[in-house]
Amino acid sequence: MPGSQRAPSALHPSYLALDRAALGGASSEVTEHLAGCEECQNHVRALGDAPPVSALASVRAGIAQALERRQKARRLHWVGATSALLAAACLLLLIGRTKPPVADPPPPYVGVKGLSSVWIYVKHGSATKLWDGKQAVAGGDRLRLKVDPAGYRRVEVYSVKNANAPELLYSGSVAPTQSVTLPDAWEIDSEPGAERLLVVFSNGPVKPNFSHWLRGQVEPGVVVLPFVLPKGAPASPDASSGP
Amino acid sequence: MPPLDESSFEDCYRKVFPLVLAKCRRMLRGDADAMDLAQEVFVRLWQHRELVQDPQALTAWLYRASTRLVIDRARQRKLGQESLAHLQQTLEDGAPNDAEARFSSRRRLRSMLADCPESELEAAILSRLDRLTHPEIAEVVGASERTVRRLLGRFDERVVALKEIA
Repeated sequence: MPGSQRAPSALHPSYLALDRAALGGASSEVTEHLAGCEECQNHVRALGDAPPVSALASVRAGIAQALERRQKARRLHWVGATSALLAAACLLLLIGRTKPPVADPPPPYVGVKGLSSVWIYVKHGSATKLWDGKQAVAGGDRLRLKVDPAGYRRVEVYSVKNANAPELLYSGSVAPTQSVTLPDAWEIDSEPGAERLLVVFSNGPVKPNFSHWLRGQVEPGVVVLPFVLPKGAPASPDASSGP
Repeated sequence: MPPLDESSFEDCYRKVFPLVLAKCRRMLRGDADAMDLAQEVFVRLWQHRELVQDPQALTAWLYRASTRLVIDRARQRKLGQESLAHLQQTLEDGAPNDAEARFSSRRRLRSMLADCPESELEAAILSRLDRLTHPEIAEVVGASERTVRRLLGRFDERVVALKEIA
């Protein structure tokens, strides 16, 4: 495509231009195009959909780890500089009697994994909305889950009303590489207190260890994603969407 | 990096993450790989979160960072063949339609990933997968339009040469 000004789909603005439009920075040319192009409208509209809440937890953990790595690196730098000065002073007195200083190993890189994702759809009245991580639910609302197992072969869903004895809502095998909407839906009861769910991904039956899981201690090969849906007066059922 | 502020973090996540994920899904077919890449881009973005105030700078940074990250991962063979299908189409101007063509195409992709300079791959992805114009690519990669034209020209020549060898 040498010499061309625009890549193959010359009829549409670039995705960069559409993304900027979604963030409120549309040029007049893009605004005009959007008014008459359903495909581009759909792209911009989709960018306004709530992202999966489970990824939020992974991203937050990744940022916390990055912060911790940076702080530890600073501490090591400071300790290193001070140690060098002390070592130089001591060397004059203890030469031949001290072992060479051994620096702490660098902090291990811990990448953000957390690929497994969960979308929670809340049906209130006749409207279904994707739960945004904050929205309150009410007695009578119905929940339905869509999961992306990200390589895991089994999913289990627990309701945690009693931390000592969570109730198993769903258990079954899933295709490891496909997002799937679970066949069951659950109705929120009218009892006070938030609705707490645990979604567990694994490669086979797992013996539940709730006391550890609820403290974030999870055995290898298992991913546990906790969700707390506050109860209260929900927003009016307006826009609708669904899996 | 100042301490994490929950409300601003969540606002930023809701506003920007769908955009990051959509960009990653254009580059990678496997949803899990795209999600993983998007999370890593977002973690890096958060370390430059002053960009969030400026959508122009934010989107340019995001396109540059995610494109370079996917090239790095592809070169380190951290991505499966299925995930690379979109990049493969970038080389082929369409999906190869029979098994032999697909095999040749994969071989060309591996060769391209190994030998092609990152700047050429970056310009090609931005042009062909993200539909960026030359001025937009120039803005994202921080080069002149003339350089962008040269990079895309060289990339095309490389693809033609690889196809001739095959």
